[in-house]
Amino acid sequence: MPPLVASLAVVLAGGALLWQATDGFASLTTESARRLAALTETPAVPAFPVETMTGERLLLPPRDRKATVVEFIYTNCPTICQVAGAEMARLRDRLAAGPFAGRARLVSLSFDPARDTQAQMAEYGHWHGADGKVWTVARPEANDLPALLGAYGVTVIPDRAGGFVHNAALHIISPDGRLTAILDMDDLDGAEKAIGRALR
Amino acid sequence: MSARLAWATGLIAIAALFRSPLEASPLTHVLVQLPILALAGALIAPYSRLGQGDWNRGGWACLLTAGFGIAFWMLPRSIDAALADIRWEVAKFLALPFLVGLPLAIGYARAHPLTRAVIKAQTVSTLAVMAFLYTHAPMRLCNAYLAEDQYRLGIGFLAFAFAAAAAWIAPLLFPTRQQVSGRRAGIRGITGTVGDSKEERLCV
Repeated sequence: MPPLVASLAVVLAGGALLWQATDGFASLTTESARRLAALTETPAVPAFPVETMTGERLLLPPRDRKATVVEFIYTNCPTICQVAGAEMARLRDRLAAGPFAGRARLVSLSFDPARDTQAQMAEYGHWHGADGKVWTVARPEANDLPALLGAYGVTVIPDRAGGFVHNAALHIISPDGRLTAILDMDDLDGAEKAIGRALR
Repeated sequence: MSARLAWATGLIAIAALFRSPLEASPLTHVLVQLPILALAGALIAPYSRLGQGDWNRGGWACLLTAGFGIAFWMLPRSIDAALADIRWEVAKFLALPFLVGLPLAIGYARAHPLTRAVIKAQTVSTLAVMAFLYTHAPMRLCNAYLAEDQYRLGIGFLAFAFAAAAAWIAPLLFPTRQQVSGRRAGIRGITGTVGDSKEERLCV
């Protein structure tokens, strides 16, 4: 084989591999890849049983005519989750005043179900002003946790200070249980638009 | 012959046995484990008759293969995937020796001195860019690693950049006797004259 042909073959194969590995050079990180996949593939999210801050048991995501916004938390979190709680409160207020009032529910889902008992969730919920209806705090069963985190694409790692770090985001789920968008916690504008698309 | 093979096997064994501690931090994952695996591949290059054909003239095909292999495993999502999925981990243990280290050594051996110089310059600049990226990125690039560890990886890239630059500049400033006589021969060969030794030292 002439050297030029061999080199061109390598460039073609290598370029195709990199194209494949980065979704067409669109995402270099796992986080951007999962956000892109939510937009383009809208994967169905399996339903998991959860217990809420009011002791209610339900399947998440519920199948009804509302969109669901899921964020992941652990109530012992001293820093970012408190900020995230404030962002969820702002999102609730914004939705209540907008065109999708009454058509979306917010769920702060704990990935620390062992420590986040119902009492603990209720305290966190009341602290941030979650009413348990429009916005509720919930925990999955410990056995379901790995599969649940895998389905949403969430990675939780210890932060060496007794807490956790995770790829925090707003997960927008359509009424038929599909993950349709993943957005930054403070992107309330984007979240409202994504809820509008999910409801269509 | 068997010594190199034993070293290569030993290096892969070390990378596999100390998987957990090495992969606990991105610094040791990317700048210790991955280079160890690539080095294992490079060690077996002299046995390989693979790159001797005309298709690999100038080493280009092999160097390009290594380049794409490095680019692939430089992606943060590849590193995340290796931690999350055992199939990716196995792919990493195969790709680094056989698609990075081995072709890099085979290709470099046949490369023109100018190509080698470009590779060296490219290596230093890429390491520096990675250092900047990992120390300045406003978000976590790997979901599996903490932001503070990401910063440490950036500092590690910077150290590698300085080390590579120093290693490749050192011979210009402090040439060994062998290199000096080699260059003298080169100068004679080009100019066809035998220069005064003081002038030559200035040239070196």
